[in-house]
Amino acid sequence: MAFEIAIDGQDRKADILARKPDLTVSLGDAVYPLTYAAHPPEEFEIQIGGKIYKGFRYATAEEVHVRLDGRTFVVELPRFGGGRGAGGKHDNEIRADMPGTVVAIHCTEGDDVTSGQKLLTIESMKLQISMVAPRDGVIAKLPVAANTTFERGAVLAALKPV
Amino acid sequence: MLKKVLIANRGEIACRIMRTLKRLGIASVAVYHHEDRNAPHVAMADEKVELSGQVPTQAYLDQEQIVAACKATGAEAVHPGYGFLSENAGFAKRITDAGITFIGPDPEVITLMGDKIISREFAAKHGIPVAPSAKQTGTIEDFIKEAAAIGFPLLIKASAGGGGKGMKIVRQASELEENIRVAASEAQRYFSDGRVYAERLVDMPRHIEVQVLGDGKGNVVHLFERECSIQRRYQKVVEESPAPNLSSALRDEICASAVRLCAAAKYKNAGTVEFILGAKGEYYFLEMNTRLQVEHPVTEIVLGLDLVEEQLKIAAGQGLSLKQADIKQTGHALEVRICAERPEKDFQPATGRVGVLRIPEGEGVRWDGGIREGQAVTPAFDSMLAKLIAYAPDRATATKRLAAALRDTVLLGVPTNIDFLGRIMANPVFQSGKLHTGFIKEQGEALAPAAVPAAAEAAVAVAALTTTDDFQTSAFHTPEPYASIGAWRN
Repeated sequence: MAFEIAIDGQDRKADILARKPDLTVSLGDAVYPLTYAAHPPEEFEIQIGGKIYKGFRYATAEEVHVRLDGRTFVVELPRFGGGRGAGGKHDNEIRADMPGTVVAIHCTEGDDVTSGQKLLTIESMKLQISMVAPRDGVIAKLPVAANTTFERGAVLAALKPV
Repeated sequence: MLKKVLIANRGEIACRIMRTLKRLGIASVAVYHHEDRNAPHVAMADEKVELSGQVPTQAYLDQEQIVAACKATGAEAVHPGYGFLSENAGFAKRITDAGITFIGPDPEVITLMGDKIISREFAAKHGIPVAPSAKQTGTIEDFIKEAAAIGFPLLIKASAGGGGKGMKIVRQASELEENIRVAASEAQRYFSDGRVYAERLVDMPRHIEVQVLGDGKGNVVHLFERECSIQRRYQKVVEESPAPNLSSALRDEICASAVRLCAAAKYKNAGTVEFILGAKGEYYFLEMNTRLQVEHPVTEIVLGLDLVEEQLKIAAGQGLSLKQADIKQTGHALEVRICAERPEKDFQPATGRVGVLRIPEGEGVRWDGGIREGQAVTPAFDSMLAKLIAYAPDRATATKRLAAALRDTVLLGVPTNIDFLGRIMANPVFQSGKLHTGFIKEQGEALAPAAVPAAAEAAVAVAALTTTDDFQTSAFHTPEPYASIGAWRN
């Protein structure tokens, strides 16, 4: 059973290759026999090849945050959102990372837009942020009107599928 | 001295103020919105009063409810912290009219310094250098012509603004009109005042500010300078005192300018005069903040002072407890602002929940926070979660201590800039002290995260996967006959 995950946005494939004598996990092409412990649950200790990796972790609704050696990693897991990149749907939608208000819309439905072009200005946590086109395309939908609030994850603009 | 003080604020600054009140034996009153009922500032206070409001910010800005809370609890003074009502002249007046002491300047001085245009004119009149500029007096079309006449590059700002909101940089005439119109509409939106002004931009400027204390009778001392040049989105993220690579002659001149301005205004309270400093040593008045500043701890540490205590003494009519000749800087202090944001996504603010929190400790390390485990980080407030400060006899050691403290900080559940700040501390240009406000953009690539060793990445993957039932079951709870053939099961 392979696990498709992403670490800081980079796709990785992990798998359990053996359980005994050591739990053996693969990440990409590399194979790691290891030991694992977690007491209390937010503190882990993993030993790989004689080196001990001690850190902290916390699972949010969308991802797991892992603190190791003074660095925080964001790990996306398959249980969240039915696998990464499935169907290429995300490429067509510009979604909000957090709740906010649409301040201005700089395009209209049917517009030809180019990658990086500013489509909307939103305001969230007292800051104005530009939402840009992720690729070249045609605006299919602008579901949220100007001066309207939206929730986290809302689709703010959609491109016609290629 | 005062006996009971209400803090019209929340978060780290409310906690910070209460620490001093507690030390001085002064009772504290917290105000809070329902959403903040479990927040640290409420738990710390001697008394608490809930404010109603559809959204939390509305509650903290509700002047009538705050006055009523003072009356109900018998608080004789209000400390406004920073943000919210701290620079609202109407609030200061209302508090004073109700017979309560406002821990801050007189309303007239807040009004004077709160308007970028009027305060600049006041500064120029008193011999403080100001940058060549144009202000909007008539139509926006006339203003566009006047602004173009100053020459480029130009900075367009909201007259009533602060915190970089509504601010634009224009490098050529063809971009001027659009930027002025956008700045004006943002100014209208944020400050309900659409007036903007244009000013000559100093390229690669440093942000140098001077902490002052005034007694309201024209007696003013300065508490030396802070360098706040490391900024993103026009907001400070690293502050320090003293400023590196600043000659003592120039520093003395800038500090003297700040004192002159505040003496002329008969300034009362702690305050900060901000300047922009160019590569040739030219410096210009930027604005004055008539309140306690976010970055005040670096000054406190190098001077061995408690600025909140000084504010309380001044408000209680005890005047200045310090003479200029007695104020000496010792060592070096650095502060970083820990914010809920995504540095890799242009520092977009982020939300979440503080799931795991471990506060760093160490020699010379100070944590000014107002968060606890389990607390939600919502879009309702500013994204700053805490401040981390490090002190040492010299800048290099202070930088190392701050880097170590950042490494030891664990704050999971909401994306933060902690690791980004750590990379700033490790950056050779930062360490050399050659700072300017474009540092973060200029060092963009050098500030990117380093590659991760493969085995460490595997540990990260396992640490994350073991939080899921699927992985736990396959790895640890599979019945023996299946487990034994696991390796061949692909």
